[in-house]
Amino acid sequence: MRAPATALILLSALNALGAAGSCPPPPQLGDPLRGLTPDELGRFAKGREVFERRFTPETGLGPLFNGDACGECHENPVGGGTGDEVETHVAMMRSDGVCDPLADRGGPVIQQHVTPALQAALGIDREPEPAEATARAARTTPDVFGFGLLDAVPDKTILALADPEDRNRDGISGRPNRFLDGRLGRFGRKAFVPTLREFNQGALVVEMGITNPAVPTEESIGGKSIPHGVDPVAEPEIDEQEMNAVDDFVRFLAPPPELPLDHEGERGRLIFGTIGCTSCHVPALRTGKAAERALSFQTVQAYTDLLLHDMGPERADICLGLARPSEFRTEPLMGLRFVDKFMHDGKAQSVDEAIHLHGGEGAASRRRFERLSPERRAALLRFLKSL
Amino acid sequence: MRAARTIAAIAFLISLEAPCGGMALAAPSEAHEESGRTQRFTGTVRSVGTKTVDLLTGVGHALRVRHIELPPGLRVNVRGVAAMAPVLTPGCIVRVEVRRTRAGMVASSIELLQAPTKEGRP
Repeated sequence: MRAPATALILLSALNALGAAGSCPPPPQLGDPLRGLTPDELGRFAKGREVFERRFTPETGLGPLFNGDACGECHENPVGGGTGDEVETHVAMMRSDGVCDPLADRGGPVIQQHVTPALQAALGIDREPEPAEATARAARTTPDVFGFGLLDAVPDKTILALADPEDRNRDGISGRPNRFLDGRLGRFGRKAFVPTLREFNQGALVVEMGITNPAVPTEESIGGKSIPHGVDPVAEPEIDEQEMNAVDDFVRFLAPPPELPLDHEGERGRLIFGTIGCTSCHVPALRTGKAAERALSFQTVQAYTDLLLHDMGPERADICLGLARPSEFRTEPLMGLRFVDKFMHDGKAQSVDEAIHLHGGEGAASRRRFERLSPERRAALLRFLKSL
Repeated sequence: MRAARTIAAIAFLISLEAPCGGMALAAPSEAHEESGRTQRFTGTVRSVGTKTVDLLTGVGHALRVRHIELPPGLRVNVRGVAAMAPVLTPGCIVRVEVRRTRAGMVASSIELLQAPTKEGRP
């Protein structure tokens, strides 16, 4: 009798161990995705070093820059998170209907800092804004958790959500943006950039002045060349290995774990759908086949459709690509509980205020939100604060 | 002969899968497109002069304007048909092969991939 009991206990213990082995706890904030290979984990760790590295003028920083490290802005509450920096973008809507990002005048990103050498040479402490700009935009620092999964969502999935003519007459008419070469855009507040890799490669230069093999030239200073002797480091300022590493770090960052919901939160999740928020903030997207197994055929609960939507004239700022001034990509809501400046421009101080600022295609849902009873509104906010 | 047919068939099948008139759009990278003194850019026409075109290219939000000279007699390839340069208008997406000279970049070939759409112009 004793032997079978002992065997049963042993079997249970082995089962428990097996279960623990096959179902580890979900990644915590700042952790890599589950299922990465040892090589990929090594690349993630190497990339974190580059992401957190403080660059100096002697190691390539500037001469124009917004921050001296990726992790200087993407820092809250851990590397890859949000930040309190708000940067400036400009563009010009030409009379012929062409959106000009003023690339030959230093646009679209206007850097807020300069190195001491550039300051000494030109007497400026930030990049001048081009006089030709017809619009100026403030841009907050988003978190980048789970962005590798967004990168792995097939184009066809995004395009299937588009309804530019609003054929289903629900008042929501999401449409895709396109990059300069015609490819589908998905990254950035205007969904202009097609891939995470390109976003990262470009960001190294426009945010820190770190040239790399994909972008081996510095930004101009309001369209003017950099004075001789101001940038002593030869281009590119980081090599392909380091560029790839920082890209790997961002790509492999796991999405933030959702907090468990109580009854009120579950009710809020339902209300989120019934008042129409999920028409744009699509709860989940499915990735396709990716180079890395951990990114392939995964579900990412990002609460975005990666499409452009008209947010109304009061929110309008710059055009970019096909995006009109009032059009913005649906902001992913994963990680919302770590955000303290809301909307693309940081105008809202709370989730509640951000909902009140939804105009255009978001106006109908906003009105439904405003008509909710205080209890139902609190339930919705409780759900949103779990993301 | 048979090998040539096979290659032609494969090329045709590849063209069916690719966007913009059969031209595959590779991710841009200034350095990777370089080959000797020849470079290839895919981007959006920003403005067109009598003998020049300004092309907007970029990687992420790092955007660049390429001032490219159009030599006399250069035709624009529009789906395999040679057209005159005036077919280019702001908002067109083109692929340009350029030679770098002391005076700047000179186009050696230019292909229209997509005319501006009604959705809007970049």
